[in-house]
Amino acid sequence: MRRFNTLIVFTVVLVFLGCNSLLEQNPKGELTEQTLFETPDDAYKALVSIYRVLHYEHQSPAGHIHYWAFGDVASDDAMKGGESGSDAPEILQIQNFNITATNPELNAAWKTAYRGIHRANLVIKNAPNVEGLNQATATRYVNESKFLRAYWYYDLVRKFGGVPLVLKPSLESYEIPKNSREEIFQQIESDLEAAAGALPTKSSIPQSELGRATKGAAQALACRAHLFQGDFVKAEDWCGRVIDSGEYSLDSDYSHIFSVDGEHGPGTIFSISYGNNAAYWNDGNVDNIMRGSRGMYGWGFDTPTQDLVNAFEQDDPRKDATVFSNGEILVDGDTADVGNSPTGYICEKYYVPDDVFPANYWDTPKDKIRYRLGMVLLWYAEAANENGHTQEALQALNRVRDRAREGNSSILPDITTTNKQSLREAIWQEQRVEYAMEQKRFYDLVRTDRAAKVLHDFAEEYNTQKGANFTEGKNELMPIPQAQIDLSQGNLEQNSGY
Amino acid sequence: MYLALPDKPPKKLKLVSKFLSILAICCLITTASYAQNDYKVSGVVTDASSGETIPGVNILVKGTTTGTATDAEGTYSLTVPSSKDTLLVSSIGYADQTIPIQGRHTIDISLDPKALLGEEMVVIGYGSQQRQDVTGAISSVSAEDLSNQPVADINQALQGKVSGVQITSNSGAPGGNLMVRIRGTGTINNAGPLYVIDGNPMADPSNLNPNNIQSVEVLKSASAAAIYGSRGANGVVLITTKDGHAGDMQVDYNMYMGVQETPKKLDMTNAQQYAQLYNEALVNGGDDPAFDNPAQFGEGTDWQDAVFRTAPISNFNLAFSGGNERSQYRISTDYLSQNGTIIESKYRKLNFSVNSSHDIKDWLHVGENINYTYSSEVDIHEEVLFGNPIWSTIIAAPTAPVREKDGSWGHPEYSTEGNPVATIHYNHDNITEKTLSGNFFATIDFINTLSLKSQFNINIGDGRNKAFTPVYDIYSHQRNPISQLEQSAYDWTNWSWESTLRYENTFGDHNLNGLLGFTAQNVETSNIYAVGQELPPGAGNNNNLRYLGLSSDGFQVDGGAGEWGMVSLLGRIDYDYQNTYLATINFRRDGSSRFGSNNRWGNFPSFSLGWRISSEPFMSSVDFIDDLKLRGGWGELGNQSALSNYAFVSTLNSNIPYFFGQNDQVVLGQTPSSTANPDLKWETVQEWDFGIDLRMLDDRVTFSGGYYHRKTTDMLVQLPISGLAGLPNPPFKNAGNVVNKGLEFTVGYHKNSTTGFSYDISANISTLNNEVTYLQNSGAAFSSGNVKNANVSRTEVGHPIASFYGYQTDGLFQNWDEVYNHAAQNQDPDGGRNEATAQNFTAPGDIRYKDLNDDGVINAQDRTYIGSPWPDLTYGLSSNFRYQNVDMSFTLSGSYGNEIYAGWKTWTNASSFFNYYAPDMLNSWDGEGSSNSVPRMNGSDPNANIRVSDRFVEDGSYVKLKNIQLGYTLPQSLLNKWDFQRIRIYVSAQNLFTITNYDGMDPEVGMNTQEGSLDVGIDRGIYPQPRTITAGLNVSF
Repeated sequence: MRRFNTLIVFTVVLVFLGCNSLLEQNPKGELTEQTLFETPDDAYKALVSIYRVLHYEHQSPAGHIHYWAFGDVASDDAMKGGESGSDAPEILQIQNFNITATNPELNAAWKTAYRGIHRANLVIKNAPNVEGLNQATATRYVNESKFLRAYWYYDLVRKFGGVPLVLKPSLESYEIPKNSREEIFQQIESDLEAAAGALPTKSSIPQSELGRATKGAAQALACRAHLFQGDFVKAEDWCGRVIDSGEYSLDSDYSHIFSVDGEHGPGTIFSISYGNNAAYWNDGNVDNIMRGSRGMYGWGFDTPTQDLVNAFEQDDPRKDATVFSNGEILVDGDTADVGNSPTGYICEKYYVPDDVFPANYWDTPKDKIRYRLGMVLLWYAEAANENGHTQEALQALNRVRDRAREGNSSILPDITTTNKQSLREAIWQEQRVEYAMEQKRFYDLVRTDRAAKVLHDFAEEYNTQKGANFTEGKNELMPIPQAQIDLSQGNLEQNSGY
Repeated sequence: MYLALPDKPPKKLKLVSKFLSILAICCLITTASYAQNDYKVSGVVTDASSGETIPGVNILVKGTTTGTATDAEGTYSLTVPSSKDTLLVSSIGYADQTIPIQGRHTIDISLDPKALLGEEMVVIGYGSQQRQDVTGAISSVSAEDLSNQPVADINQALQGKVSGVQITSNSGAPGGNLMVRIRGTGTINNAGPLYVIDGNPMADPSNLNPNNIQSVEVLKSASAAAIYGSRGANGVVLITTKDGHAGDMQVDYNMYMGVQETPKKLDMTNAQQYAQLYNEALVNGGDDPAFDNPAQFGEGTDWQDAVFRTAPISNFNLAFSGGNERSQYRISTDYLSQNGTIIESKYRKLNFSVNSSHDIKDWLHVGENINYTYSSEVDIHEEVLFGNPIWSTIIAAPTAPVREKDGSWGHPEYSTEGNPVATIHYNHDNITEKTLSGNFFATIDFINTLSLKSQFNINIGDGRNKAFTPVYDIYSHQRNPISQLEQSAYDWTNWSWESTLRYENTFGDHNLNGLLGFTAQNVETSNIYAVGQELPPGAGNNNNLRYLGLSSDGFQVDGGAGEWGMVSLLGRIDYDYQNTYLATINFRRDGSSRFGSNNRWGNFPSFSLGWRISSEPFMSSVDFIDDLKLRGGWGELGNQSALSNYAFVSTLNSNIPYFFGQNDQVVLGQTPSSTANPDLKWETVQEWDFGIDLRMLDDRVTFSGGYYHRKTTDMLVQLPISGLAGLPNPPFKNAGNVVNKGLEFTVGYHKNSTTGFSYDISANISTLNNEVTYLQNSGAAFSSGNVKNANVSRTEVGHPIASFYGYQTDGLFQNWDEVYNHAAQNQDPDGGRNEATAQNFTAPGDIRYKDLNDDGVINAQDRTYIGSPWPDLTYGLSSNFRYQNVDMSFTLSGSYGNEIYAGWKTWTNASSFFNYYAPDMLNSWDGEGSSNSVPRMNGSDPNANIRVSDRFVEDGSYVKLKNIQLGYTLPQSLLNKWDFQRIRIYVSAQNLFTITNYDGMDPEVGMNTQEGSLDVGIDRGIYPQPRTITAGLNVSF
C-alpha cells in the first residue's frame, strides 16, 4: 500500500509542477512590444531608432555599405575600384549599367528605406498618445519622424520612381501596387512642410542635440526634392528660406568641412552622425575604410576619375581637398599611396587621418554630410536662373566660388554671364566640383536629362565600358528589386526596360 | 622480468611504463603464490534469469587442465591447486564467467543467458525489446564496433555504420562538430537528431567518453521515435553507457598515442607563377603589371607548409567495475589530448564518470549515472565565413615570406589578405567548458507485472571564452593598434523528470507490454559578455596580465537569458500473439512554453505492425531461414527547435546606438525586432515506413531493408516578408512542407570459429530524395550560402533544400565571332574586336553562359539549379577479421551523387591578387583552342566569369577509409601466468585514404554552423579531417 501511495505522490506532484509553472514563461532579458511607448523615455528611444536606420543606409547582405555606388560610381565621377574587377560584382553592375533586378544593393536600398519609414510611422502614430510626454516634445518627435520619412521616400523615388506609399506602422496586406511618382512627391512635400513649420532651428537647439533634424534640414530637402521634379519655383522658394534664415554660413576653409573637427560646422544643414565609441563596435562609419586606399588602410573603392579631376578649374583648391594621388603629403603628414586605384586617385574627403583613426580599424568617426549650404546655394542659383532671377543666381553662385578661392583672387573669377544657358552650364559645372564625390552627381545628371549624353561621352573619351551601356529612358531608374516583386505576388510592377 | 623496460623511457611513455610497472609487481606477487597445497571448491550453478539449476556446465581452473562439469542438479565439486586460483565457467547458451576463488570453499555461480541473434535486447525509448520483436526501424551499434577509434565525438565513430544516417564532419578541427542527418533533412531548421544518454534527453554526446559507451541505437522511423514526440522529428539516438557487473573488480585500461596530419595539400602556384599570372591579369585588364621580374621570386612561400603541421594525439582511459548480486558499479576517467593539424589549434578533454545501481529492497532498485567533463579548446575561428585561416592560407600570396630576415612578419605587397600564420597567432579563442550531466533513478516493483521507474536527469554546464588580441602592426591590412580582451561566460541548467509505469503480462499466447509516463523538463540558459581595451603593454607576452581589471578603456558589456519548459504525457502498448503477430502503439502529448496559448499542446500518435513469417507453421519446413519478419508503421512527430524561446511575443531590439551632439554623444534607441505570432504550432513530421528483417543459414547471414516516406508539414519558417513591413527580422510562421523518401539496406555475414579464421562483414546503403513540396508565399525562395557577396544556395518548391542555384556555363568563346554570335553578356555595343575591347568587354576566352530562356540576354532569369549538396546514396562497409590472436577491422564510408560548391575557387580562380589554384589557372585560356573550361586572365573580369555558376560546382562523391585497425591479443597462457584477463596491442589509422574527384582538401563538407542549416556543402576552405595514425593498448585484469 505504501508503494501505491508513492506512485500517487509522484504523479500528482509532476502534473502540478509541470502544468502550472513550466508552460508559462515570461521573456527573460528582453523587452516586449507592450512597453514600446509606455513612457516619455520610450518615445525618445523609438525616435532614436529611426535615426539609427541612417547608419544602415543601403547596407548590403555582407554588411558593407555601398550607398556611394549609386551617387558616385554610377556617374562619370568615380570608378568602382576595389581589389579587382571581380570584387563586388554588384557594384560593377551599377558602374556599367547592366543592372539586374536581383542586384543585392537594390534590395538593400529598398529594405533600408522602408525600415526607416516603418519606424517613423510608429512614432508619428504613437508619440502623441504617450502618457507624460508634453505636447511640444511629442510634436518635435513627430516632425523629426516626418522629415526622416520624407528623406527615405525621396531616396526611393529618385532611384525607383513610383513605389508603394506606406504611412501606417502596419498594413493588412503588403501585397500592394506602386503609387505614382507624383503621389510620393506630394507626400514628401506635405511631410516636409509640416516638419519645416514645426522643427526648431539649428541655432535654437543645444549643442548636445546637433545632428537631429531641424527646420533648415527640412527646407533643404524640400528644395532638393522640388529641384528633382523640375519644379524650380518651389525649389527657389525652399532654398531661399534656408539661405535667408541666417542660420548657415560658409566655412571659410573648404577642406575643414570634411574633417571631424568641422562636423556640425556653420554650413552643415543635415548630416548622419557617427562616433567612435568602443562600447558600440561596428557602429562607426565604415565607408571611409572602404573608400580608403588599398596602399594605406582601405579597400580602394569609389575612386575618382580623371574626368572629375579635369573638371576642376586651374588651381581650384577644392581639387586638392577632393582627391589625392601618389606622393601627396596628407593632412596628418603621411605620404599618399593610392595602391591599386584604377584611376590613380583616391577621394580625400573621406581620408581618415591618424589622429581620428579608429582603434578597431573599422569604425571611423566621420559624419556623412547630406545637406550643406554650399549645395543649397547652387541649387538656389540653378532654380533662380531657370525662373529668370539671374542676379540672384549669380550672387549665390559667386558666393560659393568666393569661398572656394580661399582669398586667392587670381583663381576662380566671378561668373558674370547673364545668358540663361551659359549660366545654367556654369552652375552645373560648379555643382559638380563643389560637392564632388558627395553622392549627388548621378542624380543631378538624371534630373537634368544629361545622364545619357554625359555617360556616353565619357565612354567614348576614355574608351571604356563605363557609361557605354547607359540606355536612355531606362537607366534613369533602377529596377524594382525582384525579391520585392516576388513577395508582392506580382502586385509591384517592374520599371520599364528591365 | 617479463617486460623489458628501457632504463629511461621516453617522456611520453612515462605514464604508461609506470602503470605497467605497477601491474608487473602485482603479477609477481600472484605468481609467487603458486606453490600452495590442494584446495577444495564446490557450489551450484544456476540460470541468472530463471533461477533454475544448469547441468553440464564446464568449470576449468584457469591456466591448468584441471576441470569438471556440473551434475544433473547443477552442482559441482573440484580440487584446485590454490585458494588464489581462478575458475573459468562456460556453458552453451550462457556468457562465460571468470571467478577468482579468493579463499572461498563454496562458490555458487549464476550464469547470464547469452543473447542469441534476434534475442539480444535493443534499447528503445523508455525501455528495451528483443530484436526480433521490434517493429520500427531501429539500428544498433555495439561497443565493439566503436572501440579504439581516436575520436573525441561518438558521431565520428558512427560514420558509415548505419544505413539511413548521414554523418558529415563540419570541421576537422580538434573538438569540431558533425552534421548528423537521419533519413534526410526534414526542415530548413535545426535538423540534427535528439540524443538520449541513459534516458537523459538533453545530454550532449560530445561530452561523453567514447570508451564508456555500451551501445548506440538509432531510432530512424517515426513509429520508433514517436515516444519522444515533439523532440523526435529528426530521429533519436539512444546511447547506453557501460555498467558494472557482479563479480570481482575488473580494471580496464586503454590508451593510444599517435600523430595526425592533413592528408591533402592543394596544388597552388608558386611565387614565380603567381607573379606571372597576376601580371597577365592586370595587363589583360588594361592595367600595368605589378611585379617587375616574376622570376626573382622562385618558389616563394608554401603557406600550407607554414600553417599545417603534424600534431600529436593521445588518450588515456581507466575504468574500474564490479559489484555483487545486489550492487554494481563502474567508475572511469578519461583524458584526451589532441593538437590540431593547424598551428595553435588544440583540444583537451578530461572526463570522470560513475554508474552504479543497487537493489535496496527486493522491490526497490536505485541507481545513477554521473558524467563530468572538463574541456579546453583553442579555436582558430575556422568557421568564420571569410577570413577563416584555411581560406587565408590557400589564397595568401606566395611572394611574401612567413618572416622577414629581421624576424618581423612577412606580408604581401598587393594582396589585402595578410600573413595567415600571423593571423592565427594573434587571433584565437580559448574556450573552456565544464559540464555535469547524469541522472538518478528508482524502480519500484509493485507486483510481478507492474513496476514504476522514476528518473531525474540533469545537465548543468558552464562555458567560458577568452580572446586576447595584442597590439601588432604587420602592414596596412593587418594591424591592431589597441590591445583588446574579450570574455564571455555562458551557462545552462536543464533538468527533466520522467516517470513511467510499466505493465508486462502474458495471457496464453498473448503477450502484452504497457507503458504510461509523465515527463517534465525545463531548460534555462544565461550569458555574460564583456570587453576591455588598452591592456598593459606587457600583456602581449604575459598571460597573467590578460584580465579585464587591467584594461583601461573601451568597456563593453552585454548579457541575457532564456528559458523554456515542456510537459508531456506518453504511453505505449506492445502486443504480440504467439510471437508471430506484433503490434506497437505509441502516443505522446506535449505542451511547450515556446508556443502561444493558442496552440500550446500537440499530440503525436504512432503505430507499427510486424509479422514474423518464420514462426508460421507453413515455414517450419524452411530450414535455412532462422527469422523472417515484415514490419511497417506510421507515426507523427514534432519539431520546435527552430523557434526562439519567446516567438509568441514581439520583443524589442534595445540599446541600438546613434550619435548626437558636437561630441558624438551615444544615444540609445529601441524598436520591435519582429511581429508576434501567437498562433505558432509544432512543425510536424508524418512518416510511413516498411521494412523486412531476415536471418538465415544459422544466423550467418542477416539482411534488413526498408522504405520510408517522410513528410514535414507546418515547417517553422522565418518567411521572407515584404520590405514594406520594415521589420529587421521576419516573424516565424508555419509555412512549408518537405518530403524525404528513401530506401535503406543492410547486409551482414559472419563466420565464427574459436580456433581458426572468424570474420564478419556488414554493408549498408541508403538512398535519399529530398524535396521542398510547399512554401507559403510561392515564388519567394530562401536564398542562403553567401560566397563573395552572392548567394549560391536556394530553397524552393520542387527542389531539395539548399540546392545550388546559378548560371550554366557552355564552354569558352574561342574567337570574336563566337562572342558576337551569342546572347548579350557584356559584349562591346560598338562591336570592337581588339585588345582594348577585350580589356573592357566580353572577349574570346570568356565563359559562354547558357541563355536558358532564349531571350538573347544573359540575365538573372537564366539561372537555374546547378547542383545539390545532398547525396543520392550513402553507404558504408565494415568488417572484422580474427585469426587466433590477430584481429583486423576496417570501416569504409562513402557518399555518392552530392555536389560541392568550391567556394574557395572564387578567390583562387579569379584573376586577382590571391594565390592561384595551379591545375586550373596554369591552363587558363590564352588563344583559340587553348582551353574550353578555364577562362582567360583578366583582372577587370568584364564578363563576370566569377558569377555563381556550375563552374564552381564539383562532384562531391567520395569513399573514405574511416578506420582500419590491426590488433594482437597476447595468448591466454601468457595472460594466465601474469593474471591478466586481456592484453591487446593495436595500430589504427583514421582517414587513411579518400577516393574522390573533388579538387578541394576534403570532400566531407558539412554545414557552416554559424550560418545555419541552409548553408550546406559550400567549401570556403574547411578545416580538413586529419589522417590519424595511432598505436594503442587495451588491458583488463
